[in-house]
Amino acid sequence: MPEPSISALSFTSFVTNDDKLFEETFNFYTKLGFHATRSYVKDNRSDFELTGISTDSIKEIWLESFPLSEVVETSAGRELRKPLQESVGYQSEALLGYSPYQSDGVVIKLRLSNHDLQKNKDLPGEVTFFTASIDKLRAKLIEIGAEIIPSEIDLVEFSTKDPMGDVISFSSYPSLSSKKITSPDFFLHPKKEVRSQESIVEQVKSEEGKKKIAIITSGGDAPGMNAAVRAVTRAGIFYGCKVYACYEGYTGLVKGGDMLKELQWQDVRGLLSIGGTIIGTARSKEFRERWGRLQACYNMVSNGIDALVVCGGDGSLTGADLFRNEWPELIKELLGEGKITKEQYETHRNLTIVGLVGSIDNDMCGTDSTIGAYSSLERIIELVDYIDATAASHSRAFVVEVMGRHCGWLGLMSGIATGADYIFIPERPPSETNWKDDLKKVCLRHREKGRRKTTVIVAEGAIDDQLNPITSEEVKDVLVEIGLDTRITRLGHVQRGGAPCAFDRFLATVQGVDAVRAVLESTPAIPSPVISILENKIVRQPLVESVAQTKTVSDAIEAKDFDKALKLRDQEFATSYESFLSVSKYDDGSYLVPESSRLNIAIIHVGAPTSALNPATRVATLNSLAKGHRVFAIRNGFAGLIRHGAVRELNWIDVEDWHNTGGSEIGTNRSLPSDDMGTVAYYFQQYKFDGLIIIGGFEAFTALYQLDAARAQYPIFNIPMCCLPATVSNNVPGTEYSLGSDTCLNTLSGYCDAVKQSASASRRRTFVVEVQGGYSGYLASYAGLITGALAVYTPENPINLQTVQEDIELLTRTYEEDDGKNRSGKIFIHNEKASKVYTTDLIAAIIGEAGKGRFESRTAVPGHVQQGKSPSSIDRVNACRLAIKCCNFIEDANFQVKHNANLSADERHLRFFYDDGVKTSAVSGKSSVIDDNTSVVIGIQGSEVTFTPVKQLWEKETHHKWRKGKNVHWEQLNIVSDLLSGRLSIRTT
Amino acid sequence: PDASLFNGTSFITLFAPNISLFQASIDFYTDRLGFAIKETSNQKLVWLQLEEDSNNVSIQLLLDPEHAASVSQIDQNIRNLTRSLYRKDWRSIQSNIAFKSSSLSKLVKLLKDGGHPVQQSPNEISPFEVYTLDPLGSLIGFSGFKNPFAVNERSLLPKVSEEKAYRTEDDSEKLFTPIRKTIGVMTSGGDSPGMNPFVRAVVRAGIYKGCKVFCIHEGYEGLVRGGEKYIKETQWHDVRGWLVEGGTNIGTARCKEFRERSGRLKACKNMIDMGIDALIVCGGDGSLTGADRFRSEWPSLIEELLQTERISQQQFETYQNLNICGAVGSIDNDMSSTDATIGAFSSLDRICRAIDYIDATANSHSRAFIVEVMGRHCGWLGLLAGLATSADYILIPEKPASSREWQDQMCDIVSKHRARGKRKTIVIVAEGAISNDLSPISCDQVKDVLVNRLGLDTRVTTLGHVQRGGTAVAFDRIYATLQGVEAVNAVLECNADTPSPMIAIKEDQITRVPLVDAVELTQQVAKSIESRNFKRAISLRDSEFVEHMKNFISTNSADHVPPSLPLEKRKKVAIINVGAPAGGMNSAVYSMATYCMSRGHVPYAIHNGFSGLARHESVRSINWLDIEGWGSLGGSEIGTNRTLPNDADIGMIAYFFEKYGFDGLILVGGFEAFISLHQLERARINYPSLRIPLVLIPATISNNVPGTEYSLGSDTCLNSFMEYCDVIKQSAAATRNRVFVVEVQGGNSGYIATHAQLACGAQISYVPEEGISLAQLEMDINSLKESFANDQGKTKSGRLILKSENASKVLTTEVISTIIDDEASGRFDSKTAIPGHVQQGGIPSPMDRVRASRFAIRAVSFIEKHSDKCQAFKNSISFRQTDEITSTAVVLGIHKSQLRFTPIRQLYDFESDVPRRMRKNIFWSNVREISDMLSGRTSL
Repeated sequence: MPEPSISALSFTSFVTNDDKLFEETFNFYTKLGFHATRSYVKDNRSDFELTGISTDSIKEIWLESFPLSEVVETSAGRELRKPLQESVGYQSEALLGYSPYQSDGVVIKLRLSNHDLQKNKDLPGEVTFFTASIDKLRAKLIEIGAEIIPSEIDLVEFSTKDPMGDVISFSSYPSLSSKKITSPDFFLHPKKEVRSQESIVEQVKSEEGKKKIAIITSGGDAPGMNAAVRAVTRAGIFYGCKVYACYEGYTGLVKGGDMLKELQWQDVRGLLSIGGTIIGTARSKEFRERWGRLQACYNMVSNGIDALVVCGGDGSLTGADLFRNEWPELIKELLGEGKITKEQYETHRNLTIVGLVGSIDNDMCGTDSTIGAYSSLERIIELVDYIDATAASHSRAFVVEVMGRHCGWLGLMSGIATGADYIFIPERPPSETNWKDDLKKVCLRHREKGRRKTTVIVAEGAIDDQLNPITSEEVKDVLVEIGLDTRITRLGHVQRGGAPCAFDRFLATVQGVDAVRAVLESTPAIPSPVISILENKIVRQPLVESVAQTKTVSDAIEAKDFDKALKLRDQEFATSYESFLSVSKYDDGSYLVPESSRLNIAIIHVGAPTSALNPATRVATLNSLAKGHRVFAIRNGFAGLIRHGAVRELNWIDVEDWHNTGGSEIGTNRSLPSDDMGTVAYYFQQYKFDGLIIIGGFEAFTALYQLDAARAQYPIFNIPMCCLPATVSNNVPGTEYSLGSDTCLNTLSGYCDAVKQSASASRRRTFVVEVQGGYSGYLASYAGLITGALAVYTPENPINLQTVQEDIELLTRTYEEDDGKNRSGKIFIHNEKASKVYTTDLIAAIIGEAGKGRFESRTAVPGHVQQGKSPSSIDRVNACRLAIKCCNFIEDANFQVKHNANLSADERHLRFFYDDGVKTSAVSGKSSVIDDNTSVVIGIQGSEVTFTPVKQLWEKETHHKWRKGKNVHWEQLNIVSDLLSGRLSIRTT
Repeated sequence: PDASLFNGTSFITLFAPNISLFQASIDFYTDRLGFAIKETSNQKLVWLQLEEDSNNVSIQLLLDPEHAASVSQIDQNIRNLTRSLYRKDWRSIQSNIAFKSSSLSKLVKLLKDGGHPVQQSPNEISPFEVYTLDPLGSLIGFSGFKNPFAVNERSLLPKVSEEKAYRTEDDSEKLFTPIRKTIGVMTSGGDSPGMNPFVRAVVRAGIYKGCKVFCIHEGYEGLVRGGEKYIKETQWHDVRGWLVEGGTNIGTARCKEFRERSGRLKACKNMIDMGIDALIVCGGDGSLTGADRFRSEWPSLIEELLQTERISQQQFETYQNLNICGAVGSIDNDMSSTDATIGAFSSLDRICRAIDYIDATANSHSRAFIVEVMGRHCGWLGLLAGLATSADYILIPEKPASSREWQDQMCDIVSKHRARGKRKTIVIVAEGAISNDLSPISCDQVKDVLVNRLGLDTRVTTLGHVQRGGTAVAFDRIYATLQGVEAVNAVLECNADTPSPMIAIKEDQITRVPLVDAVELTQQVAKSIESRNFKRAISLRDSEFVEHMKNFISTNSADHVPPSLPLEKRKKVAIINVGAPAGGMNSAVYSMATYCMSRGHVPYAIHNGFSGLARHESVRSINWLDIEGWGSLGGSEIGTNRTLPNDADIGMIAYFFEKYGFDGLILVGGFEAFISLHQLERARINYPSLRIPLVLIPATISNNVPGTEYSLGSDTCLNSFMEYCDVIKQSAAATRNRVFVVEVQGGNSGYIATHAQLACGAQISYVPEEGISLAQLEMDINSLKESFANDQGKTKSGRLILKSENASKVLTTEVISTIIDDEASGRFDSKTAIPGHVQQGGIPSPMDRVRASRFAIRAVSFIEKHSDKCQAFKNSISFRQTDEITSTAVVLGIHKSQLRFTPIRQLYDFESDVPRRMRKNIFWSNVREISDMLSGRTSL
């Protein structure tokens, strides 16, 4: 017997050569509920394919009586066929290619032929159709005057003849072996299929023993909370836990039921780029009551949850810790009331709490940054930049009110980042008596210098030293007094919204993963931790202490102990405040150094432009001018100096609005001093530079090394020289952070969001995004983490056939899982130099081929746009911090020469002396001839600002061929992103 | 539904005349076709089944000489058919049944091995259907398709149309007329984004035409003060980079002095001192009125100056007349007689961005937000922001209600939205919102209502000056530039008798209207509101405004209030996305669905394009909550792809259309959608289910759909591309002496490249319509060399060259960049930048959102109007393509700002260049000339 290749009936065809009969038959079937679904007339000039049409037909009409299927009643009061994919049982049955809730339907092809027909009407025999409404059909047939012929055949109710004479019979049996169906309701209103109880029980059993974690977002929402939810969920699943979302903050815990839902791997797809929190947050009065917490305890135990990751502000975290302390008592009470079993009691005796700080105010002690703070800052600077335009057009003053009731972090940082004239923050309240005068003085002075706009930032919680609140209106009134057309802008909730910035995506992700680890490592003895970031490292701190310390800040302010309040904030806060003052306020002449100590400071940009070059230059200039130094910009890099001697002195008004401009106002390029060292030295001599700040990337570093090495030949280079790393690649040895890299990451995350969106709209498309970074994988790794890339390729981790194969397997698997759903765009991140063989194009091609039509691939090469336009808030703030350090370094070094008693006056003047016949820099002093520390790279390592001699870096810590430092400080990022993309699971299994 | 009475086929009954044929038939069905026998007690009856326990059709074989044909009849039949095997199509000779078969080739082999005659169609190499005769002479067929309606025709290609020249009439003549004048340009009143591009355009167009151009700083204040500090001659390069900058670089201020005659006298003197005889003012209605008054007073002013001997007789003679031209710079869009003021769309963009930010918080906390937007006498910003962000309620000055009314209405809508599961509430309040007794409505009032009556956690956000700031969006940059150029033309062409013109945008065209009339009309709006004649106030706004308002009302109350149409008029409307994603696709789906709901139609979404429908029957009904928030999402939530109906299987598509009984289809997409519409329309002759209104909403970044001058997504694309170029240009400027060759998407359409050139001030753009000639390239490189030589080391000296991806096959982006690099011989360098898919943009621009909404609602209305008419054609056996039916398959397009439905037949047959995937008539060639003019490029 052959393998059956035949399945169901396709259609029935009736043929006639009588035009009139043809039409009558058509009408006959239409009256019985058939629809004409295809029609064909031979005379038509038709260029359509004639599939299924007989070549000898004059006319054909194909009729369909559509399958009986589930219906819905609409608001229009009509019953409509429910789309198949929304029908009960579709999900499970559709995969088998067969849905039980649709009847087959009937297709009849009526053909009008020009041939003689076979006379025998009984061929091909008789067709018996199934009908679910036999009585209705009979009535209908009688109504249209058709003949009802009783049948002798089993199963057949009766027969009739169509106008062509074809005998058709009817049965109530869909098929020989099925049950009789006498009502269309069987198809129209199917019962919901209930999954058998047994299988559920079975499933639960096999899942037992898995740790269950619930994640809560609580308090005010902050951008990045979603990223934290994603990280906790995926890391939890990776480590073999089950993760539950607790909706609407603690309310979900108290209410339980649907508000406490398990999250699957796919559920959190695409969350990285969404602001706010999708699991909701709300204040819960119930949870403040003991009965509410008891209920929460019960809901948790009955779901088997005994660990809680809370993302919120200090209040929410305190609540969580209280809950933990109370837990043994609560659970005992539940046992006593018989609400839980003894067994449950035993397994859930302890509650684990881990805190994540989600707050836009950055008001938590013990951590350098809270999740959401930098995103909020980003919003503020975006909006103030908008306002700037109007302010400058009208020569107006703007008072901008930012959030921060007890914490002036947003106020301070936005003051720095927007080049504000004055700020009011709670930690540094001005004197009640003279703040108005001071404000007037500063603003008027800036106006006199030619500034067309005035920006004053007021934190919500601004006060004077007598604790009287300072309102925006008061500030406005003061400004109006000095004749400024002044407006107030309250930024309000706009500050909370939008997609998280790159840093917050990173922070929330890395902290979320660590929170899961903390849960797994916790024991009853360990106090509840809060995940913090210190010195760029993720650490755990005791929750209670952090909260307590935070409280003392507001206590200190209330007690008017402002110095203490400032001290309790992290170190950077005080420094930043000082930096702000030195740019905005110290230009009043009171900080001028004695004439003899005034210096000529040169600034040069070297290498590819990045977005923070101008802000850094601005701060260095303003800070130096305040002290009476002169600042010279070397224009268009070393090439500009060598060819045109392009040097220009910078004034206050030249640079005052450079805080938000990207690119390079003074020009930059890749040329090096070695192109013509002599000419460089000549101009250094001519302008009598006392110090040099080189801002740029690896070329800047190289330039500094060349100048340093040329000191023996050209003593004029015996001045303090400092390289301020600014490059998107972040590949300068001696620092873990370069100016511009954060802007680049923000741009990239925006870019990838857009590309991903394009990919998910087309469904089943993967983008391979090529990012810059030279031989440094920093950008790629970081970008991979913050965009949720499936795979990241960097020069540090060589690509081979196996890795590519694994990634394609991962891709295939992910596509299978999400079955054409939304948010399913996928990206791969590929560093431009990751591999000579596996280029971006090749990887895309390999993916495309492996997709075999199930998915496809494209490349996306953002190129120079990665540099970004306007510098990000982080880059602006750091530009300020580092530029001031550079200035201080130059001042200090010069001071040492001037006051070095070991040097003769000549030596002081010439800045060198002979040491054993070798020309030696005077700046570094006689004691440290070998470790010359006057040509340095300023860097951030940990949270320390460091100065490392360029020689040391060049000789010991540089990978010359790959143009980067030897230290790969970002390897951890790759591990975390692999974990969250699922790549790590594939690698380990 | 009209539940059909035929619900399947139970079995087929065959009659055998004798035992040997009975047995032979059993063997045939079992051995050849794989049926299984189900034994019965009756010797004369055999049931043949395909599979045990399945619902599949069975054959009842009866040994019944009485019913059966005689043996000789059967023999005769078999002989006849076998004889005609190669001559006639059996299907037209004998009725038959056909089974589905998964392997026709196998089957053919089996049948032939068994000696059965086999007819295959359409041919024997790759048959779709196979027919054979069973031993009883019954014609039995087998179909290779899962569904008998499938056709899978792939070979059909559209006919090649003739190529035509692209350029329409050339009005470059006008641009080249050299008349020397000295023009003063100033900005006045509230600043708005786009003022700088406007000034730049005036300066450059003026210089281009041989005029001197002075910028008057600080508005009228500068005019009164005079001197070189305030009135500065401005050179070509002074305005470099101004396109990108927000606000106004030449300042603006209020001036009391100018209101006095003495002030104006000073101004007059200052102007004559500088030799200025034409003044271009960009500002609001107040500023423009001032300018016009100044002009009418001018003769008396110079008279006085002459008398007091402050000017010479000669000066008096020379400066007899002052030419004035106004352009409206205002974020409120409150000027009558122009469709958009400079800055309005930028401001709208800022508002939408801010509300998108707030959305996240509102959603997280399940909160209500009241957002106050600018607009003292004009609700344009409030209304459009409401539409673009799908706000729950808006309060604007043009449509006041009694406080009771609006409060009830607002609470009703908000609470219904909440009841449906919406987590956030956004209420937009225009600054000038009033109730019908003219008392102002403040945000706090609204807040109290929401708090007290609905108990919502409510916050107020006043957007304030954020709305004014930032760089202008592409639309404002482009139109400010075009208006600037026109303003220069206007002052050059005016004489003493022409009334002062104001440059306006009407129906997407730059026109001049009498300034005084426009101001008068504008002030009437405020007056009508004051006299509580609200109807008149709204009638003074343009018709689009009224339409937007209606649309807002119907979409935001959708699905909550009883539908407006009677039962029998309610339709089933489907929407599908086709082609590459474009900004606004989701907004179109959102508006289409909500509008349908408000009317009582049932909206369906076809997911994943035509292939999704044909392969997976991916039809879903649209649920209100599911689409909440789609108005502001990018990409395509229902999925889109490029598969055309004929490739996906037109038969199946028609089949599902019939199955779900769609009364109308809306296609949202680009050129693929256009071709799809064409295919569907052509297939109507064969498929009655396609004889329904079919409307295409153009959505493609390339803007190459025939029948429209604007496609959804093109504005979003232009903006994101413009942002990209701003960054690249900055990078080029920082490096100095660098050229970027940027590759622009857009298929064979140069629309984006051309408009981007204007919007980001690129030096050159190469488009497919023109191609790249070597001579042009050489000329461009020479002018690059020249311009770099001129601005040695100055800032802002980055240069951009935009190149459409298909501008030339040979001169690729890389090649052009290399050539430039080579030609530059080290004096400057060249790099490439390829933005790629990011041009599709993230969040759709407000303009795309608002227009998507307008398009979608118009499309639904079209379906409403024509669907009954189509009904008549549906069941006609002899269907003919009449004009009446042809006019129901249309492209909905914008033509000179009017929405217009054009039949696909006309567009496809006469207005498309199908092989090159573009329209024949290029409507933007004058934009090319202007942008070349402003970048100082000479075009061949």
